[in-house]
Amino acid sequence: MPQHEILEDSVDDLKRPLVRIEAPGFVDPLVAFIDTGFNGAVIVDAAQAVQLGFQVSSQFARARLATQRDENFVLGRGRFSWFGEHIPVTAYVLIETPEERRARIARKEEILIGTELLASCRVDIDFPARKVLIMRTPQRRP
Amino acid sequence: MTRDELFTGPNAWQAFAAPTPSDIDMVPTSIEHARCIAMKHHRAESAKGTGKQRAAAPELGSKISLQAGERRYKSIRATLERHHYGSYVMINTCTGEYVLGATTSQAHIDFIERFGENAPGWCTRIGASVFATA
Repeated sequence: MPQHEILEDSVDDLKRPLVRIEAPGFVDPLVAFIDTGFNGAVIVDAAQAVQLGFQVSSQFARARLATQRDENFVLGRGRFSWFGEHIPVTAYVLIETPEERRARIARKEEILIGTELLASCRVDIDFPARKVLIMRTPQRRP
Repeated sequence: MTRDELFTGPNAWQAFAAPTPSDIDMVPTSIEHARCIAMKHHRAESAKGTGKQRAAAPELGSKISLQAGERRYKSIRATLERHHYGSYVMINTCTGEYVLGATTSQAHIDFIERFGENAPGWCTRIGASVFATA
């Protein structure tokens, strides 16, 4: 399989599978946590959306959190670097107060990626070995 | 000027300055505030463009209503669930019209193509929720 069809990374100390993604506007690679419980493409906060060049829109989306609480997100339209391509995606942008953001211990380079991006991929997570392998299936790209 | 006034009236968008570096650290404190940030960036983008783009900006003055989206969704939910279970619906909260898509991104693209990028919209998944663990 060609190298650009594979993303290889790790599981961190908190047992979170992640891949690092180079993104314009960020000095360091973005740490994208793989969230199979999220069926959108990407969750970012407002600052990240701006930095990624996403056009934050007048559209909102409702999502249900693990707590069963419904939460509204702003939608942002832009391009996201995925397997070396800049693909158009809609990001879910967090709506949060500065206090909430501080409580979240926000780090500017951490985001979530969900199953909309992963829908065309096979994902292997080896927790004991702390390895993550994402392979894109050629026929079914997002 | 109140926050509501930022989004209404023919001169609403003129109240917004181009984004500054400090906007990078700006986080919305409410849905209205989020729209304020969105408008600032839209205005900056429009200012780079043509007169046509600038003329479209006052559309942003129409106030979004998340409740309107939810109300409209409830009114069409049964039909949508019967025929489009698991798809995503994005409702124009001004007109009540909507588009469907297999993903949020698809619904969002179609929504913008049909109603314009400044049209107020509200999206959810039909039948099943959009799950987020943020």
